[in-house]
Order: sequence, then structure tokens, then C-alpha cells
Amino acid sequence: MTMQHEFYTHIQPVGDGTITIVELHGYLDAYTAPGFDDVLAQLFEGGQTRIVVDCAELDYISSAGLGVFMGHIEPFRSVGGDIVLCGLSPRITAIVEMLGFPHIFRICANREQAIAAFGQTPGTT
Amino acid sequence: MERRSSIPEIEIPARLDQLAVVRSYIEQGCMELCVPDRICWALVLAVDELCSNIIRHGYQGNSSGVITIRLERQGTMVIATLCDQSPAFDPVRSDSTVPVRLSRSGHGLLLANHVATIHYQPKSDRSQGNTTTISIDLEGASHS
Repeated sequence: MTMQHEFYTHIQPVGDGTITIVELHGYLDAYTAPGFDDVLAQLFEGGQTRIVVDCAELDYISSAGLGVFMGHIEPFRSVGGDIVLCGLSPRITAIVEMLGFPHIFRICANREQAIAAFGQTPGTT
Repeated sequence: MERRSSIPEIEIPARLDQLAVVRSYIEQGCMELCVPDRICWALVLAVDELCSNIIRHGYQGNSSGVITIRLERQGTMVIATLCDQSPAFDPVRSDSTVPVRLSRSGHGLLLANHVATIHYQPKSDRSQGNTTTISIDLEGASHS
């Protein structure tokens, strides 16, 4: 029986450093979500508020993982930042659509589009 | 004759780090029961969400508790059954009053109900514990 609990993030500034890429890898569930919560909280405290979350290597997400996004989006936007998602697999897309994420978050096909989205007005991606 | 088969049940400690074990059990069981991949994915999600609710809200951090999980197939139905001894707690109703939009929690049951049919039976004098069943009809499922 294979274990499905590995989760880690890789953080990387891009461009002039005002945008931060957060790659998600593995399984984001109720056990691993607090770690991702800490990552976003530390980025916010460090003044990095323009975030691209790349989900291309994310194998699984449950409601606890999605709740992390929900819990952070308003503070990030309140200071002019945003959290943009990209690279979602068809199944993760299905889950986020069940919770109405496309009405709340900008979701792009890939990292390039997500980075470009910060140069556009919300809703044009 | 109705096709019926089941996978040996497992018992896990009521801890969030055991959710990975639960998902692996359901995935492996679905393979053995020839459950299509898209149905298996939906069942994994629903069982994960309900186990998480039982651990967090039922046992409320009491990690000495346990959850027993059984997977079976009855005809076109695939059914996961969760049994626990936590104080009577209805995972089917627990999240229903929480506003979903932009709230950090309260989405688990919404997801589970979206992909499966959930039924909860609280423990009573005649039962050993709380029983939650999560079922999907393979012929009626349209989940992606």
C-alpha cells in the first residue's frame, strides 16, 4: 500500500522579485494544509503579496487545502496583492469548481499566463 | 445473482496523519473491486473528507480513538463504511450551517455530497458506534 502524505512547496521569486511562485507538490489534505498555511502567512508577513500558486505537481487536494486559499485571499487583496492559481489538473479543476473558486480566484492555464495576469486588470485572464 | 465482494476492513487511529492510509486503502480496494478510476477518485475524496470531519469534530483531537473502514461492492454500488466511537456527531449535518464562500472551513461535506451519497447513523443502545456510509452507483455516477 503506497502512502500518499508527502507534501512540500518550492518558492521562487520571478521577474523583478515582486511576484512569487509557490509550487505545490504531492498531497494537500487536512494533515498537510497547516504547512501550506504557514507558507502563505510568512510570504504575507514578508511583504510578498503577489503570489502565483502553481499546482502542476499537486496530486491531490481536499477541502482543508482549499480552505487555506480561502483564508488568505482577502488579506492579500487588501494590500493590493493577489493569489493566482495555475496548472490545475482536470480533477483538481473539478474540485475547485465545486466550491466556486473560479468566481473568487483567478485561475490560469499555466505559469506564464498567471504571471502575465498581474499586469492585467482582474477578470481579463 | 447480485455481485457482492468486499475488502478486509482496516482500523486507523483517529489522527490526521492517517488520512494518507485511508486514501491508499480506498484506492487499493477500488482496484481489487474493479471500480473505475473516476469513481475511485470521487470515493477517495468523500472518504477523506468524512474521516477528517470525524477526527476533528467527532473525536476532537482525542487521538486514542479509532475509525474502522470497510469497502465493498454490491452490484453496481461501491460502498465505504466508517465506524467510530466518538461522541454522537453527525458529519452529514455538521458543516451545513457554515457559510461556504470565503470561509476557511465548512467545505468538506459539500464536496463529499457532491460526489457521493452520504448516510449517517449515530450510535445507539443496539449499535457498536456511529456508522457513516458513503456510496456511489457506478451506473448512475456522472462525476468527472
